[in-house]
Amino acid sequence: MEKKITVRVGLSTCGIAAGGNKTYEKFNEIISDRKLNINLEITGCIGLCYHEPMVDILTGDGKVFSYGAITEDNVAMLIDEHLIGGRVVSNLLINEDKDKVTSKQVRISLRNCGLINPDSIEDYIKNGGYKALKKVLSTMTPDEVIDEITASGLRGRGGAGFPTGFKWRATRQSPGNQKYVVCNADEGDPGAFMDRSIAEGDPHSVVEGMLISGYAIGANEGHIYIRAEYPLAILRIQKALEDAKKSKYLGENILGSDFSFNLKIKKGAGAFVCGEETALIASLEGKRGMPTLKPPFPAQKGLWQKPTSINNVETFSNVPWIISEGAKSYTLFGTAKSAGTKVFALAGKINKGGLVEVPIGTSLREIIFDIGDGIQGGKKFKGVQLGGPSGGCLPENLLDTPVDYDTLIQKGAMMGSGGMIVMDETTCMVDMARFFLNFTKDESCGKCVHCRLGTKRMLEILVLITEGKATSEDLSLLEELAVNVKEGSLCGLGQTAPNPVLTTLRYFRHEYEEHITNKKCQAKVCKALLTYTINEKCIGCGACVRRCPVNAINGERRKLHTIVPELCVKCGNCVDACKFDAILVE
Amino acid sequence: MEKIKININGRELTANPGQTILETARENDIYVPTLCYSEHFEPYASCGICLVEIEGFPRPLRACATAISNGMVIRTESEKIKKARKLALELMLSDHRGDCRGPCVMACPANCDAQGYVALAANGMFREALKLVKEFMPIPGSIGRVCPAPCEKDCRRGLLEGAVSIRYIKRLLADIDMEGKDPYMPEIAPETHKRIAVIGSGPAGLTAAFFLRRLGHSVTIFEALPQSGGMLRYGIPEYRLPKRVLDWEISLIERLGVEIRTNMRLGEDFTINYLKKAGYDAIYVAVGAQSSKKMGVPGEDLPGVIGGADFLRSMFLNSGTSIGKRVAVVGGGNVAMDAVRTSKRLGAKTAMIIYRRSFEEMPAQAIEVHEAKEEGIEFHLLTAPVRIQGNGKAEKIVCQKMELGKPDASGRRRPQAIPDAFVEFEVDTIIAAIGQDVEFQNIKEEIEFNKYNTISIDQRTFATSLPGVFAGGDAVTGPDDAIVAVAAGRRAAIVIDQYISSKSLNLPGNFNSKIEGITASSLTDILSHPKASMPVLEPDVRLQGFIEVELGITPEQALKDASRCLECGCLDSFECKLREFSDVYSAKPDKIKGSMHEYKKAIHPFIIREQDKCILCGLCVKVCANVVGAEALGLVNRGFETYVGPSLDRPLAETTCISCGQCVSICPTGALNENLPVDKPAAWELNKVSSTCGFCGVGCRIQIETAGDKVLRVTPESPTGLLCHRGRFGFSHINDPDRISSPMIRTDGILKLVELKAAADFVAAKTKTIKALYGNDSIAVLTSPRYTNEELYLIQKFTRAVLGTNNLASLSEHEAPVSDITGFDVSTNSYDEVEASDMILAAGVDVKDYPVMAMKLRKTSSAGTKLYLVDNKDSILSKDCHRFLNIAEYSSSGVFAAILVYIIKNENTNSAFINKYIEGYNDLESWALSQDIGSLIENSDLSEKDIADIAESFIKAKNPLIIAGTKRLCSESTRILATISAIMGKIGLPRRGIILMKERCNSQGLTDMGISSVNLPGYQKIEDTDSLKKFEAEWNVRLNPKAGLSYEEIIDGINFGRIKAVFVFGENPDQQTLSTLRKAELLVVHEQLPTELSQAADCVLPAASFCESEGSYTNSGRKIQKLSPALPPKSGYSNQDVFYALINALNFSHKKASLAQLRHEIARLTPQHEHISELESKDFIYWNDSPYSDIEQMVKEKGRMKLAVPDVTLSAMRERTYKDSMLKRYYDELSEKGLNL
Repeated sequence: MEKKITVRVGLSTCGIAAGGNKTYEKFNEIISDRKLNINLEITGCIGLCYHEPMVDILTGDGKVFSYGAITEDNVAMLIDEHLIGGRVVSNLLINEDKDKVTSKQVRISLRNCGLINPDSIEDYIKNGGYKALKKVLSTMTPDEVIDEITASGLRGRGGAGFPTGFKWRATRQSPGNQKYVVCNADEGDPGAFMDRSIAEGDPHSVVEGMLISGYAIGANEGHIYIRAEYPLAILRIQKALEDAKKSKYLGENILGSDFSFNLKIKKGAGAFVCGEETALIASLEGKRGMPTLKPPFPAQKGLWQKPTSINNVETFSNVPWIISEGAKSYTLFGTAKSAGTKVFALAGKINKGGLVEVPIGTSLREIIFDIGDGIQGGKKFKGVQLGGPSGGCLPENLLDTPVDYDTLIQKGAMMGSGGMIVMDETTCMVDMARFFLNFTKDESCGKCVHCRLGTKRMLEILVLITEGKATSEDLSLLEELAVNVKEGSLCGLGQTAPNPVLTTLRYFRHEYEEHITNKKCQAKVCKALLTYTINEKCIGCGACVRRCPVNAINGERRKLHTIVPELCVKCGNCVDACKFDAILVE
Repeated sequence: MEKIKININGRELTANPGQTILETARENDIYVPTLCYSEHFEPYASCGICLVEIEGFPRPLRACATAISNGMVIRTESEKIKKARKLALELMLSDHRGDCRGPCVMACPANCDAQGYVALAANGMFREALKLVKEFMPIPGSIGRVCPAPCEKDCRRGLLEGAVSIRYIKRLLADIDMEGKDPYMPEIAPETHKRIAVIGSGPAGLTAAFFLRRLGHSVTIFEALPQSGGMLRYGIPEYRLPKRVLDWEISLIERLGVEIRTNMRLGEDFTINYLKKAGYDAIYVAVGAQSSKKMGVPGEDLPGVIGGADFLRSMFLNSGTSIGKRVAVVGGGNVAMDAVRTSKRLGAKTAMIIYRRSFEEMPAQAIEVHEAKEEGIEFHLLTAPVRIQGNGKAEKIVCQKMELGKPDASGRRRPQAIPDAFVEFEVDTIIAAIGQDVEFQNIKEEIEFNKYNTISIDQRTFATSLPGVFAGGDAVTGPDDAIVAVAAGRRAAIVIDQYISSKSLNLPGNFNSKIEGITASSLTDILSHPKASMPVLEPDVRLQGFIEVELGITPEQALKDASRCLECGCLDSFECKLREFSDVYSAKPDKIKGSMHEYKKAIHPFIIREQDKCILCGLCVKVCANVVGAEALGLVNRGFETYVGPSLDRPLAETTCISCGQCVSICPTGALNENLPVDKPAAWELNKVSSTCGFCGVGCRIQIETAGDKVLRVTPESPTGLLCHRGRFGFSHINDPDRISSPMIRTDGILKLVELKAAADFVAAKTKTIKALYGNDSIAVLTSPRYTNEELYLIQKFTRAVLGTNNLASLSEHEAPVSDITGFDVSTNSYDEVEASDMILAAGVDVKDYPVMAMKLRKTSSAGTKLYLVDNKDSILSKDCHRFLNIAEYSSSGVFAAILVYIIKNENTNSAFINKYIEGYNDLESWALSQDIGSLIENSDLSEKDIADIAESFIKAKNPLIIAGTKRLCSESTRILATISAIMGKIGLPRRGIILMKERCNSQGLTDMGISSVNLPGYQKIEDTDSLKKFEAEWNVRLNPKAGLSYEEIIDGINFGRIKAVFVFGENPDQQTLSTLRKAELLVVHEQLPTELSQAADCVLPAASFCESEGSYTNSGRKIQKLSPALPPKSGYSNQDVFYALINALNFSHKKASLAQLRHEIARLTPQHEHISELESKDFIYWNDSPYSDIEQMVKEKGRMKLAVPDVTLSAMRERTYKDSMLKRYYDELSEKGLNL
């Protein structure tokens, strides 16, 4: 019998956002209407978010045809053409691009994402899932597991890059019978969605990672702290937990061993600071999510004052691979100090935004230009914000910087959870710093003086600068505040919140000075500093007059128009309306 | 554990591992500032002030939360750290909205605490107000008359209907003092034998002399003129400042010991060098500026032209100054006004002012200008003299007309001449009052002058070019207001004192945050009250002579006007740590500007919350949750929008708040303050006295803070101490205007005020008659546990030795439920041991009755001690204990008996202990073996498993402690609990035994001191001959050997007419008892506050409160603690005075003993109080001189412990509730305020 054809619709949040659900429904409808002998499945995100909704057609012979932009409107066509007619719809086929983008990647953490059905434990097992757990339980002592993880050089993928093996050992060695494993799935950086993608696309890899961690540190209870804004990830993990339990991978005496382990999901209410581990613990305990000073570290006194090991989703998803393939295989990737791979979320003014996983140490240029295909619209690259709102912004001359934990810190940025926001010449760096600081200010828990008031005051100065109201004293105060907030804040949020300001001051200081001294914003972003005028190219067509929301443009037909500066609200509508390039923005 | 070595600021230190840097620093007296740390909690680490530098660390770390490690090298005050702290403070200040001091205080050149004394005046505390004024100036009467009052210009009330009349009030305070019998004389510090010369007796010199003298230095003033006072005397006319006021104020300064030598002119009669040689340790030059400035116009040297100051001075020096009929005064300042008004009074028909600018620019005080106009003075404005003409004397003044040009740099519009516009005035005298210079000709050889011809000084230290010579006043500033000179004199005194004491110069801080941008529209909800108006003489009367124009306001006016104060300055100004640190680190309140929050002040009957001043250190939230357990406060919102608020943003009084005020104590800023029990609160530096709380048996140590005759605040003695709402806020009865302040006797059916002796004689006469007619035992005495041990001892002695009866009892006397077992009716262990025990069973310890005990128990429980809480209702402690056992009171003896039975049945008794120390165990055992646990507990909700759990916990615990509330728990239950301790041998040792929580502050002392019909002090039996003899010998009197009547018997006795006379000391019985007591032929009542009983009495004697008494209380934890009086007794009579008056009136030949003598007597007679005399030098001693009852000692004194079979049928609570008048007054106040505590 001919092998059945499988259709997989990418139904991660990105796919669903692009209309994947409707695509899936359409397939379902047509397949059942026509009683087609086709398997319809879902899968996670493979990282090519710009192609969503994506559909993979797996023919019986092992070939995979990937299609992009399959909306409900062209499902019928695809079925007719490819599934029934056997004709590849080449204009929608993205295999070539997929190969191009993925061939430069090393997919360990994302090994199953976009390839397997996340709701199917069988699919996970078929792809090598739970093999590592079996290996651990049957052949390794907890110490050997920790040795293996230590040897792999795996470092926390949540941002700080703390060696995972070290953390596990510290937790194991802390006195006490009751210990906990906590998975931090409170991914809060704007533009970062690695953890969400993994949780949605390969939830079992996280569960398996936590199980191995639990076994290693001597815990039999784990908590997954996940933000409530990730409903799909929560559903997928819930399903994974139920299935794992049914299959005896979770619960009492796992796989017949002495090891028992239970996992619970705790939904976070979306406070960014709860991604900080001590604040996360406070929140888990039902308290106000505020960080406490370390030490004591969670490994000593964590959840309910018991030794607790906290890793993030991506870290856990690496664990089964390392155990299965061996630490040595993992160290083949990455640098001497930072082994393995890292997932990045490429966003901003980039051609191919999405998730990529590359060996640590890959240069920014390779990631942005080779994999991400460069800047949109052929514009000039200006900078890249690394590590989320509390990371730093690196300029063009640092494009060859290898992306690893230590080099980035040295340059003033940080790896963070892997957010990479690319900016072109239309980005104002002061405005960018203002944007990120506005985020961190809002997300400060309000506990320590430096963060609560420092971020607020820095933001106020940045606003003054963007409004052209700041003086050079304000700039020095901004710098003084930035340094002090970095040094004086209690937790990572405050300690890193000034980074966007500090790095832009380091690499783009002239932009600040221009705002302050010349009252100009070269990127033409800071509205207060812009003036709109009409030049002689104006033919008096009146298009701008009709679009102006405040009637700030005067002029007779077919004569040169003028803008009344007092009325102009600098909305930019006239620029869009003018077909003659006659509106001058300075 | 091995010690580790660290280095802080260069000092090598050893410390215990695990300690934080802050703890180690504090142990070694190295101060690290912090705003959010408290020993109560784990570090919160939010404020960022305790940052320190650690070698090898790139960034500063928080000392509060960083553990030390071997070899650490730490710097706590490096420049980097100082800058970091400064910035952290500036960040806090950027959202801290408040005035540290009121604008009035800030506006005053002397920073005189106007708000403080105005508020005292508003509270009717005039003398206290004057005392406060005198902390800033010795001459308030003079200043109150002449000051231009910059305070009033900045007064926020000025934005509404007019500033508070600060100057009038100050003047009134001084006038009251001057007219009273007993002027306020400040205390003088011990003589330092340092000599200081002050040159000049004007406001600067007088002020410096006054403050230097107060510091104990000997001060001599040298004055050039015949009389002292400087410009106040020679520059200000009598009608503005009557010289009798100045004379009076100077005489007070002289009474302090300041010597004034007049007619001693510097440079003529002596030199600075001479003074230095004469051995003066420091010299203050305050010679003023008296020489009138010249106008610089032709003809001004003609006779008939005189300087303003010279003219005024001549008034005093030579009487017959002839000025003629027409006088022109040139100038627009106060001296010009004084000169022109004086001229008018001297008979000038026309007196005019010639001034080159307009009214608006005139520097004279508006009131002076106004009064001058009223008096018919002519004003020629925009007129400038150009020459003076005359034949041998001035006859005409020619002036140029002026107009005002553009404002100059100083903002004043410069006058410009109008060309060719001249005006002439025919005159007899011209007075040039355009300013004065320092007369420096005589002294410039010795001392350096600056280009303005004033003495040059270091602006900070007031030091002149000569070492040890300081200068101030007009001689430095040029002519200025008197208050400026006063300010200079006071600051100079501080500096000079530091100079001669060789201390480093340490001028008081000057950090002040200020609310900007307040306008009339921001002052809402304020009822308008008109400003006080100063009554003045009518102009025609004024011109008759030099009588004072302003007549002064009345005290009633002052009270009203002072009440208009808007209370701008922070209540916490003297205690605020934010202010202190901001000062130390020179933080600038406005360095970081940005949006600020504006919250409404929240007022609770006892607590004021001003969120505007909160720095979110979180201490209040944590103390409320973790120490108190009330969780009434919480952090709301996140980030910049975070604030501290009561649960659900309800008013605090509607939350779980128990009004204990711990949040107020712990708040480092002015965000939380006591709602002071006065009409007009302000920040005052109060008198503080450490004492012991007079409410419950917990016996907290307190600090009583007073001003005048009022208690304003009570705080815990130590900064980390705890108090409950009663201890902290329950003192208003002391200030109650209704206090009984005089003895009263009933004549013709009415109570009349009499002297104490008369009252005592009245009582004595009646008592003697009754004794003669009905015998000694027709008299009875009832007393309360509110009295000190010494007072109770005296009452007891009065009863036995003077009245000759043993009919002595207390309404609140409790039987001794455990004395058969423990020997005495006293706790076997101290509170100090609570935290060290590993298991506590607390039964009937009502959290509402003993909130502080509940806090101690919470702390102990959270530290790991297994706390079993037995109560009949949920409380704030029930959620924080190991197990909460909800047992109805009636079932408690059954439950405790069940535990006892379990222990016996399971053979967990300590037989060695039993054999050695216990009697009656066999009966108990056979009873226990016959019992069924299930039926013992059938009335409770507990199961047999519960009983096993508690019993096992007792068995396993090494140091189990029982805490029994004697008010709530029936005596049988208490006895069973003691029996449990006894049969396990877990009593009579440290940390093992039973603590009996007594209801009132001295319930323990009451029984100790023999307030009993059967016991003498120290539980010695009356019917024991040896004991009785001991007392007879000591007191030198024959005592009644028969036991007296118990409380119930006394009441019966009155009802049946056997008891004829009753003395009631501090008791306030219920209605039924009251009606019985009314039947007595003689009813004598000793009380603080009027009660129904006192109204029914034949004689009422005034009682002193615990804040007015000296002595000791014995708490429930065996501590005999000292009481120190914070105030004199309201009536002037201490309780002992009253008792001795009675004793002496009844002819007992007993001289009044001092407290020390009395304590010696008690020590001789009562074995457990053998060491009570040590209280002369200690704050407390232990009962029987031991924190616990030692088993060997116990059986040696009292024989073996006697056990009895529990009576489980007898379990109802005994109710004999009564309210002491003080408690009643407080609880009435609470219900008035709507608090249910």
